[in-house]
Amino acid sequence: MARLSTAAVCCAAALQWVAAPSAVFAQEKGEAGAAQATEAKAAKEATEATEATEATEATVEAEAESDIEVDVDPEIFDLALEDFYDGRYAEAAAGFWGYIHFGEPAAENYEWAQYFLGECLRKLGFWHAAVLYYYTVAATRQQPEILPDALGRLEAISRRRPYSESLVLEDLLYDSEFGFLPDYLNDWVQYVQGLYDYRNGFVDWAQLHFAKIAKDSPYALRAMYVQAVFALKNDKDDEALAMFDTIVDSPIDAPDVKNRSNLALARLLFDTSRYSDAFETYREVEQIDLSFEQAELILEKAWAAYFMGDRRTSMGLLHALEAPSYEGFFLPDAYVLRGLIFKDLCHFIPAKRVVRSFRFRYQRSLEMLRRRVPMARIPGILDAGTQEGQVGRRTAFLRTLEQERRLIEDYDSYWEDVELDKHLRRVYDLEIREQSRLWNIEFRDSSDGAALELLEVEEQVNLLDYEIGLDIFKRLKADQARRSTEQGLTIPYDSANVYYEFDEEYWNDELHSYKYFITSRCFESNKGP
Amino acid sequence: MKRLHLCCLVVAMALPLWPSTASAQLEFGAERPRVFSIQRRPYRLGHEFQLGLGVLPLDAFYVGVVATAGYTYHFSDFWAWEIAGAGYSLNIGTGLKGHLFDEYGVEPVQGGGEQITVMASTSMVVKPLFGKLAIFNADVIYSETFFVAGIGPLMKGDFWRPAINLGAGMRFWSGPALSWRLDVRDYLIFSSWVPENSLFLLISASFNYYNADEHEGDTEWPD
Repeated sequence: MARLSTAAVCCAAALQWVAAPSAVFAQEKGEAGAAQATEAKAAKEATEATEATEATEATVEAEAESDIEVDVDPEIFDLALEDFYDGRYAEAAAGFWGYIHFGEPAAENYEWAQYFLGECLRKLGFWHAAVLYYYTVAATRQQPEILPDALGRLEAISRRRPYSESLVLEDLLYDSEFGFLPDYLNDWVQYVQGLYDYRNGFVDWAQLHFAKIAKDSPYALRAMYVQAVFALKNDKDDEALAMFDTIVDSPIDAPDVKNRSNLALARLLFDTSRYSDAFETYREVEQIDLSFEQAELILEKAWAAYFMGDRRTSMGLLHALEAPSYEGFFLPDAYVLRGLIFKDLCHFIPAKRVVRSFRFRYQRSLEMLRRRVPMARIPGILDAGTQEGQVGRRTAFLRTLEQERRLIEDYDSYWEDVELDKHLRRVYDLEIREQSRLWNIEFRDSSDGAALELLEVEEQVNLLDYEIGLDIFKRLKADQARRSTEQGLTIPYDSANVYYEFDEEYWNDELHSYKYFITSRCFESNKGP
Repeated sequence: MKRLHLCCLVVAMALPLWPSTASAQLEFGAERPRVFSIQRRPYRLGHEFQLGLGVLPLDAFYVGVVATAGYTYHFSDFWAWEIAGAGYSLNIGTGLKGHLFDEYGVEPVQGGGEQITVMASTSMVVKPLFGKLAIFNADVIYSETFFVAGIGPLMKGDFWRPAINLGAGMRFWSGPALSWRLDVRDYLIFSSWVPENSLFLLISASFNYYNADEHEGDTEWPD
């Protein structure tokens, strides 16, 4: 019973995971239908109007509502430009800011000053502030010749760093017409517009956008990924499978989307009980070393290996999860799997110890859950609710914002005359407030999910504990009282494979290759590890 | 009171005998699991061509700077045969011979002035140690330690002498086709029944040609 329930939990989790990497559709569930889509769009537009204004108001207000009326010498721009090309970015930023802040928006180089201010801020490590200025240049489009540069910067940042997705993707790109753009930027814009149309239920429009993406662009693969996830959501598994396969086999160089497709493919195969194929596909997936995503991948591989009947590999992968770097991650079903394997091999005391260690680790969180303590105050749930998906990305963005805000202090002496430091603090405070508000909304959902998962796993563990108790006192017939014969461990001295025995030290490159050699203590069965 | 003291004494004496691994034994009994990381060897050797520069440091009368070349065939990851290894020594005098003559009016006799000029050998190689090293905690380099035993003639003075060489070395890979070796070998040269001893230190670059079809036939790779 416990095993069956665990499988169900696992499959449910796998299904959830299939949707999860798409983060794309995280908010889409239940938004089917044109009426709802229209409502969503209306609501989105209303929110957009307020949020976009709020997010940039600090910039625009500070620039436009200068209390001091002074004539700005156009030479300030040239001097700032000279500083910029000499690598004195803090001084250059002060110059450009002075030009913008004290000058007229109609000044000849006003947009260029905004763009170069963005450049200076980016070079100094103020990525969010830089994004705001690129956004301003791209949104106003007073000087179209800067548009490709500003959009190009935003595109690169969107691939590499946490950034304000609502500002760039929703407010800037979704509803805008940019006219002629270089191909790679056009692909990005079309992809984002198509993605948001999918999110909002405008599938036909989305497909029109996706059709405008160049076939050899990485964004074409991303668009196909969105379509595959959409197919998956609509129970068209075969269609989704074919699309994921196409992405994986495509000659286009797009490692991130291929990686995500491999992961989705593996989860889909797992979900259809094709465990060997799933395990092979999981091996193609690459994750950042020691990240939560890698820990999650290892656990999924362990489940696949378990269902394949390869307990040595499964336990080896679970052994890797005990590495200190993974200690803080929320992966409660690892306990269920470990306990199940020990029970299957009739190592009842270790199985009992697994149950006990689960309780030791999560009992406090479970008690707090039952006392209805707010989720954000439950340590395990707080971690679990923020370690992946949209809320995970927002958490990372909030951390970045706080780091960058602290960085302002380093440049106080350069900027206090023109009050750029004060302005940046205002920009960052506003964004932190806004992102925190959104974080709270998203955390409510994600923490509910994590709490539910924890409660379900607790139930599984309780069942497992009960079954171990039954197995310990199981009666045997005399003719069953013989040990199963199994292949012993032989280590060749001369082999193309190297055997590194684990010596209390985890090596990153070994995490996926551990094998746990344990003999079965069962009498009547032929269960081997 | 006396009995209490006696009890304490017995407990204190018994404590060191208490098994420290009691919990581990409780957990798995005699069937303690073993965990291995089983990985495919990242670098394998087939046909190895070696070029190196070495030194003969032990002779008090000269230091030999030796240019070497060699070819080794690797049967497996454990056994190899250094089919041919040869070196030419450019000898640099230490000045001792002149000093002895100037100061004491004597010259070396009984082969003392003979210098090694050419070395040749053929050797068996065993490679029992293979591992990886963390370098500055930033990267991993792969290394192998090997032992050699071989025979071959050396030209010492004007005559070829039989010799046995024994040694060990380390190899560090910088890629599948290139590795760097550090060899330390001791040559026992039989000019008479009592061998002379000559130490040889060598640094060399090894160029490897590995044909997977030739070596890997039906190898089972780890999952």
